[in-house]
Amino acid sequence: MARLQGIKTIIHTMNKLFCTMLFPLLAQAGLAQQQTQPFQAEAVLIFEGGEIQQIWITAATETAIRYRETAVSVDLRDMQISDAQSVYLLEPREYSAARDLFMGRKYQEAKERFAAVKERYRPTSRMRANHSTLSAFYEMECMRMLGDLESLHTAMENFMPDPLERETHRRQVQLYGLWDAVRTKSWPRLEILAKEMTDVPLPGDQRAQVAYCLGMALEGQNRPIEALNAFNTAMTADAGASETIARDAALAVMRIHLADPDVQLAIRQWGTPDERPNSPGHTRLLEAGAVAHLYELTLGAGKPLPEANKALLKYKPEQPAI
Amino acid sequence: MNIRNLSAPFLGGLAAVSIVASVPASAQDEGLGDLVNKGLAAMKASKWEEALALHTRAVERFGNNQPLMLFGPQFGVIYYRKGICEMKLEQWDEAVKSFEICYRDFPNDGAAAGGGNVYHKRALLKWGEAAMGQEDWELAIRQFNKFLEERDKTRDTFPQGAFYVSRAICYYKLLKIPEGNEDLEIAIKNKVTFPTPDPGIIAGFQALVAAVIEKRNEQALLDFIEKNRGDITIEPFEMQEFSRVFMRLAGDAVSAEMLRAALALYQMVPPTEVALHDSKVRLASLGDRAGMRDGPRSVVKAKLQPAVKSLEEQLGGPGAAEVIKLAATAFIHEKEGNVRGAFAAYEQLEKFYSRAEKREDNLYNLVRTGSLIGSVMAAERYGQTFLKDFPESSYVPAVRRMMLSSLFYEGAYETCIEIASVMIHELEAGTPEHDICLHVLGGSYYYTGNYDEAQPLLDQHVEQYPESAVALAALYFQASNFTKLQFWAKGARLLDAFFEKYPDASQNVFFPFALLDRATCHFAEDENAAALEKLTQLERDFPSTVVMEMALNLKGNVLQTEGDEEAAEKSYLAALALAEERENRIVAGESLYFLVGLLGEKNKGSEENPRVKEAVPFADKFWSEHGIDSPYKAQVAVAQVHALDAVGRGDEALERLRDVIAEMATSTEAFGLEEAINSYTDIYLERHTPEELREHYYNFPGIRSSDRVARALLRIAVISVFENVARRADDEDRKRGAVATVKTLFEELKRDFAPADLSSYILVKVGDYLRTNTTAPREALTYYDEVIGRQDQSYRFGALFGRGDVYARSTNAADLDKGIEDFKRVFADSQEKNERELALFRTAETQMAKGDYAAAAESAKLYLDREKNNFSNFTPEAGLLLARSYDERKMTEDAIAMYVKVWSAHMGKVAVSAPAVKRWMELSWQRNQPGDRQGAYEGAAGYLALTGRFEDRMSPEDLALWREVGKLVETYEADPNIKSLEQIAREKEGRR
Repeated sequence: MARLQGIKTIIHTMNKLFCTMLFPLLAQAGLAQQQTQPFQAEAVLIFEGGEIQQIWITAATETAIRYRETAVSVDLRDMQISDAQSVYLLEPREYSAARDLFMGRKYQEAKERFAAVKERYRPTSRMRANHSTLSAFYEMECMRMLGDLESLHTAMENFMPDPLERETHRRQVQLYGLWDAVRTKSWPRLEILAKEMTDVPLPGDQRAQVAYCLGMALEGQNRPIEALNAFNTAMTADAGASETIARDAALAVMRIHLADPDVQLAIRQWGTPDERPNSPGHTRLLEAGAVAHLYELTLGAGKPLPEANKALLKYKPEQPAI
Repeated sequence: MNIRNLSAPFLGGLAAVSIVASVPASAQDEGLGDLVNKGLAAMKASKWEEALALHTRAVERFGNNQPLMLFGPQFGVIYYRKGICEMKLEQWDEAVKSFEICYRDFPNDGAAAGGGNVYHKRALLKWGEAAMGQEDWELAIRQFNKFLEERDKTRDTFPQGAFYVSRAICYYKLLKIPEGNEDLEIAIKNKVTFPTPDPGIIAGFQALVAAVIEKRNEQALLDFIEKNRGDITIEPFEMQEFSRVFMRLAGDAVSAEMLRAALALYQMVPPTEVALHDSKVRLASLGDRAGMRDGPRSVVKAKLQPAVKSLEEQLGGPGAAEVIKLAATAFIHEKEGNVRGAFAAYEQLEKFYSRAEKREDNLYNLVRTGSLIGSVMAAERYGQTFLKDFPESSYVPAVRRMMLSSLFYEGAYETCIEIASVMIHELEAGTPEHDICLHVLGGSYYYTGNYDEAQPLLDQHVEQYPESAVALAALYFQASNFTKLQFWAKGARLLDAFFEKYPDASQNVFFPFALLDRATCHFAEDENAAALEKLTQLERDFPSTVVMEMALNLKGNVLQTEGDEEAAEKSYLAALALAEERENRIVAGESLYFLVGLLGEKNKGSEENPRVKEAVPFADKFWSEHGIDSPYKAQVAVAQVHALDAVGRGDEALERLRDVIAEMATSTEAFGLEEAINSYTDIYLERHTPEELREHYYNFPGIRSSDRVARALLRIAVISVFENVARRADDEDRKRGAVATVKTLFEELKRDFAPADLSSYILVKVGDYLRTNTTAPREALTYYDEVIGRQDQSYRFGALFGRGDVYARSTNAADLDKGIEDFKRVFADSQEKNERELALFRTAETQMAKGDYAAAAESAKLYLDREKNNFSNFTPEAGLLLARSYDERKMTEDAIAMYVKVWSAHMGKVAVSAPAVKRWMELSWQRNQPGDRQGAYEGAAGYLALTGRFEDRMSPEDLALWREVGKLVETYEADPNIKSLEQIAREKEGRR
């Protein structure tokens, strides 16, 4: 116990020393910021017992902050983050606005807003749960949603995920590895990566991504039936809440069906004496027709069914499935 | 609707307003001020009951005696506060009354402006809120509107976000969706400036959803979501409070068949894990702080702590929102026809939410949908899991059935047999499970070529389940299976019935297959025109059918049989091209074999075949492309012999035959091996003696001692050669030697090979030898029974005939019946006309032997019906038999007519004509009608005269019969009433 206590003391001392060494860095960061535009992030220090102090942070490292005690104060104070129980970073209004856009599925506008917040709040970017890192994360999410995998790849190279606090966010960053394999069309590698995740309990949106990537990998390796199953998992994993995934998966399903020679034969035979209701091609044609309907119902998330797929709408069973 | 959620932010603010200052000093002196102060303090401490009691005492003690006059309008504040307390305690009726009194009885006059009843107008707002608590939505809207009209815009500030949400809710409750939307959107658009808290927006949205579902106006909801998605999608930790309600509303939407709305609502509920992590992070960020106001958002520890606990319990647990969402998604996908989507959702439920309350249903649906999409392995795997985890479930029979169905439709027939053959004994007949199990078992035997096992099951299914969902398939399997068993007549009859019952090809997936089967039946029964008709129909109506290449080969067979070799060749070439295009290697090999056989014949008629060499390229193609795995190797090796010989490659042909024989020797089936050996034998004998052949075959290169079938076949080949020698040798010593050799070889064969080791061909050969060449024909039964008991159909009819013949030779009536049964089966089902003909004749013979003369007569008549059967090999014998059957039954007239018909038509066949003449004479003599006796004599004498010229060529047996006629003629001639031929001749001479 005594030895352990000794080690704790050393660590505490080292932290203080480290903090002291960082203060010049904070000063530089704050100075650089002030040279462009005044920056301060509104925050609340929470101390043991629940006492609070509102502050305006001008610069930060992982362990220390520089702040003002009032929004207009000229005096800057430094402190170690560990001296407070919590540094509660209040949500910037521009971040809230970007989140609203993101949740409203306006990814292009949201991306631009997040990029701006990311830059503006960069002085706090080494703090836990800071809004610069969160904005950078959501900026990448926007890129993913927009299918801009090149930009996502570039952004990932500069992204520091450590300040992310939510487990789901950190796992999402891992999933970008799969998306990069999609970008480079490294199908066998993507299959391995995706299959490593298929049995992992994930939130529905991430399960949808893994399944979609697996579908891409399998389709890329000309394994259409397996790909169909994976894309169907992607479409259903979160009731279509991941609308870009659900939409792209539905399009992939229709694409695979339409490329299937058996389905093509069933299309030619539809309504003719040669029509074979129990043939695999006919069954999969009805499946394609159902997905086309589901696309219009929900999977398209408001986007019209592409012209090339509209013909599928007429392929419906005489009796509903249930 | 929780009104407290909406009103809490501004109730606190109102309570903070002090009335003490406005209460007159006299009232304070009398205790009113004390009551008011204590009441306000209790409100600040959220002690609502205590505060209400104080305010109630104040109005009871001081409000009965014209308080307006006594205390002024400010007395209304007490009623206002009382109303607030009543709202807090959800005493809505009382609250409404309090606000009404505050507003109605204590108006401010002009002089009191700036003091007086400061809550006079705000009482309208609270009146409206209390009316919401009463669920009097009309009243609430009226009071809200009145408040907006009358309020002092500078003094009567109010929380606008909550106000517009509240009024929107009232409109929604009255199903006035557009009005509600207008208010809710005002609250949303101004959510920062009003402000409008997110939970307030969600509460309003909930009311919209409920209205939309009630009014069945799905589009209104979808439009609203599309327009305001960003604002109604709130942070995961905040959504936790509303998730259950949204899940319920989504469920209501599903029930109302508003699937788009349902999915939109499900999509708004964040994943449990996301909500949990968000809540945990926010809780941790509070430290010891009870809460934090973060912009318009409140982060409250007292809410987060239970939320985290609840979410942790939900995560992967039986009540997780994901369970409901996935189940609903599965339902919606299946309802829309995307069963694969439903399967995917159920699979996720099983993999990640196996603690779900309805796991039994989910897992059952997983098996069901897996079966429907043909994912056999999944259906099997999850089916096994289901049976293990829910052995008592009512779904068990259905799961078993579906596992079987999916296995069957994916072609896992061996596995189906393994499972179904056990299961069939456990299932109750007449149930859907038994129906499917029986169908699958019979069908699996059918598809694996176990036709004998299949037939009783298929028959049973057709009989027991005529209304089955698989009745069409069952009828086809039954009919087709009979054709595979080569029961052509029965198969044909059932196929015709099948076409009649299911004439619409678009609804009958088996139609083209049945056409091919029917054409095969026609061909087997020498009905070539009908076979061509079916094949033409197949080509015309089903040009893309998967059996087209097979049909083209059959068409070639029919055309070749009809003598149209040019058309046959074209058909084989078309079959070859199609089979190659479809990579159907077996049929491609078959086409090549037919082409080699057609082109490679040694002679065409009596002429040499001028095209024999043209078979060579096809033969070479066969060996280069199909020489490894084609089942037609032996046939091609035989068929190519003359063609290769014609181009100087005779040794190669012999070598190929020898290799094929050696290679096929290792196969227990050895289909075509005997033909290869026979062909090899013919070529070998061109250069060697039978004795050398015997030596060569006993040590055939490449054949091991374990290759019993091949060794036995080689022995039979040797036997055949020596049988031939025995028949044809001029040298009596050589003939006797050959006969002895044959006998020895058969004994060796019988000694060295158990019946089970021998091919059907050899078994029949041995059986026939024992039956026809020994004094113990019943020894042959063992060999015939072995063949008849086999699945292999080849030589079955030979065995049946042989067995029937053994029994027919018996004097035991039961044996005779057995013999008749075997003959009848051969006649009904053999595809060989000669076999059928002999069988029918032997049927008649045996029936005669048994004494069943009527049956014998019917069989004989059937034989003699040229239009039906076109038989002729035993026409004289059948005629004689028919005559005798009349004779035995004392049908003398018919007998006399038939005898005369027989002998007059077949005089040259003395073995028949002589007995017929003799008996005719006897019957005519006995009948003794005018001219009978003289006629009998003259007819028989004429017969003797006409046939006498062959006397020296008659066999001893025939001669004996012929002489018996002669004797009887002499007897009759001695009768004084008979004019001899000589007398008649003399009289004729005299008349001249």
